[in-house]
Amino acid sequence: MKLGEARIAVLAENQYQELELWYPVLRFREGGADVVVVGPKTAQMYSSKLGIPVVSDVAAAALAPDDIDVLVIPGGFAPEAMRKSADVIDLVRKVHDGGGIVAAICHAGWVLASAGIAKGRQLTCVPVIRDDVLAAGAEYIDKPVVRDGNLITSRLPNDVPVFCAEIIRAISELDAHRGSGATWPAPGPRASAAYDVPARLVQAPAGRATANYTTTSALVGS
Amino acid sequence: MTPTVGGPQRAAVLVTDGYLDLEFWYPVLRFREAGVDVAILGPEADSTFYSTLGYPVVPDKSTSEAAENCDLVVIPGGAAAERLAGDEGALALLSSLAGAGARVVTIGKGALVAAAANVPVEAQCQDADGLPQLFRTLLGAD
Repeated sequence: MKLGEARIAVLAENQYQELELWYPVLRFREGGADVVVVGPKTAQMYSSKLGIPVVSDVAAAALAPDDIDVLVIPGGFAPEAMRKSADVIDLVRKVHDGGGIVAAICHAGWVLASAGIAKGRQLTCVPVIRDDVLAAGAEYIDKPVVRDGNLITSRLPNDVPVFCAEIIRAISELDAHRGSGATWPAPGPRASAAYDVPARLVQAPAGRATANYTTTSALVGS
Repeated sequence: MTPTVGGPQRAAVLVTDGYLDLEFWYPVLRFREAGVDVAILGPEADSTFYSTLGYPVVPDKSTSEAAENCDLVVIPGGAAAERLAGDEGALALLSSLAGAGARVVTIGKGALVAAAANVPVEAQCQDADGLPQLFRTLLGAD
């Protein structure tokens, strides 16, 4: 398959690492691929660690796993939020088990562990979660990019060039789409990398009189 | 990876405080992916410069010591571009590189710097959403 024919989904959640989300999105758009941003909800804004907003094109539950050729999971601290979403974890597992390419960078190793697809696999991740992927049964390798079949992993933002180059190589080995594309968003505007107002992270109470809170995002000044 | 035949072999990307994250980092990392020798040039080589949102970067060289030629200069936008448009060292470097044959590419407000240095702009885009088309033009398909 040519890069320009690929349907690529990139996961988003609050506290995503800026370049680990946007470099793949822009890079694969440059190659002509149709790239959508997927979150737990449709049309939901998520903030990067530093405040770059992204609005999801589609919710994880709305996509058939077979309609995704490549699923990219950025890092930062977003994976902590992603692994709370059963829809997101289910999508990651089903794309992987169905033979789609799953590409994870940095802390996204947490998502692989939660999806149960790290066991017995060679992979890399940000060194600080090395123990977590080992506990999940993976073989950790300290290299800029590691490919084990349909699983591609990298470590940090500096690795995004080789991360994306490896994903492009894997796409070139695909014969055809696995699914009909019936659940893929219709052609039209996709998540924008340009913004006028940055986002900020907002802590929302988890309930009345509780010390627990959850993280959401809002535009600065709102 | 080997650079694209006919494409840039050696590129420079200008930076100072107030740069826009994606308009700066996408070119730097994209050139690295393509095997282009890319240098980050800032007002001081040993200082840390921050994006509008606080993303840090230390340049490879200062604009005053970057003497060797390159064949492409990228000027990202943001408040950084307004600062560079008033930076005599950056303008002199840009004028020198363009005079030696370097092509100049601007993103967003980066056009202000090219105008201040009175150098022609070969290609440009308005914001980060234009980066895919800009780099398709600079580096070719895929």
